[in-house]
Amino acid sequence: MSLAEDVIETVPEETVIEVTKQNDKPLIVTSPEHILTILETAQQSGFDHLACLTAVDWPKDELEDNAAWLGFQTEPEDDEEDPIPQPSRGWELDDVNEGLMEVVYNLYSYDEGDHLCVQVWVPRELEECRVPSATSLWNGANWHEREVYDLYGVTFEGHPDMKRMFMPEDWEGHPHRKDYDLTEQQYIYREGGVDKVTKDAGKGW
Amino acid sequence: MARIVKPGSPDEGIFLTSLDKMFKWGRANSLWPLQFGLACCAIEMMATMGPHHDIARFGSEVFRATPRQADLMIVPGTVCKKMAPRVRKLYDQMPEPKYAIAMGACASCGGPYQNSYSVVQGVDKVIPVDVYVPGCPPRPEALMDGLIRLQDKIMQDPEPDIRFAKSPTPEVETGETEAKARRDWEIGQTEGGQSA
Repeated sequence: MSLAEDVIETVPEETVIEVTKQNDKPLIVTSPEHILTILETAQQSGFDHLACLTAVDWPKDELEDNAAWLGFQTEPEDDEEDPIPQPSRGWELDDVNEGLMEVVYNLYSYDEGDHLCVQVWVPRELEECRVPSATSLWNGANWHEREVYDLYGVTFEGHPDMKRMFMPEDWEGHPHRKDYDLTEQQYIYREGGVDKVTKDAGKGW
Repeated sequence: MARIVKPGSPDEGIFLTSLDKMFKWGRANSLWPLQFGLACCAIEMMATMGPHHDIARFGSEVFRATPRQADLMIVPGTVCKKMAPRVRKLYDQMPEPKYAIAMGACASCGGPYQNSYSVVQGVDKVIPVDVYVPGCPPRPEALMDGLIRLQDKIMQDPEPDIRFAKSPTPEVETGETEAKARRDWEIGQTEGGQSA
């Protein structure tokens, strides 16, 4: 039995929303309340390496375009009927306001060479886009979470130093969000040994 | 550039040129690049330095790790907005006369990162560029071609070395002082050439 199957059997049933496969690797979908339980179980089972922590931005229209692929609806048997909505990733498509943010944890076991993917789907509105921090389990999660916060605007609660990783601190917006405004460019200049942001093209680069 | 005395004449072995041209010749054939890289173009730049392509054939093998000793800045790769102030600082630290080559599509115009939130759309927004080398990334041959073109540019530079320049031209009230000085200098050059 692989380590991932071990984890799936060990975790309490109510913490898991969905168990599927992605690229032939096991995938657990869970909720923000239970993510730490799952990650802790996985770590104790032997997943000693948080290989990658990242996010995917799904605005509402993209969710609707990919609804069938994501499992939010099934094709009806009769062509004339509308697709049948169905819950997926812990969400009904009708309950989604602005869209969803998919936070992905890719775990790896050095000893077994085993992979496990854990996902949390949260609302993509900035105030509600919150997930508990995994820094208590893996120190390596620190910079991953800061990067995801910087580029996607996901706040990790309990993180020791939740600030931007790459962009200057007064940068406006989170650049990897699909609704990030590229028409109004921001420019960077140095002042007092610190990177500053300006919207004046003549002042910075 | 030079007048070579006929064999057999009493002046044999003497090589005549102007000090200005000799300086340009020396400068063009010993460009010391600044050793820094920004993206994948830097890998091609390193290949250009290596024995297979051997940029030493053109006198530019001495990559200096400090801007104080470099007179050529090859900008190899994507200049992101955070890097731009640092590139400018390095360029400012280089002694005159200094030259810059924008290597690859990113450094020339932003390349594939058009309208990006983080990439400067061409390093010529940050520093003055002499030669643009296209490619993504350019092959070592392309970089060497750029270097040779820069050498040609230095050799054909109409500006005299600042140490050999004539004293400033008479007072010109209009804002064209610099252009007029250059024109006067060029006329002086051709006249001198014709009379010689």
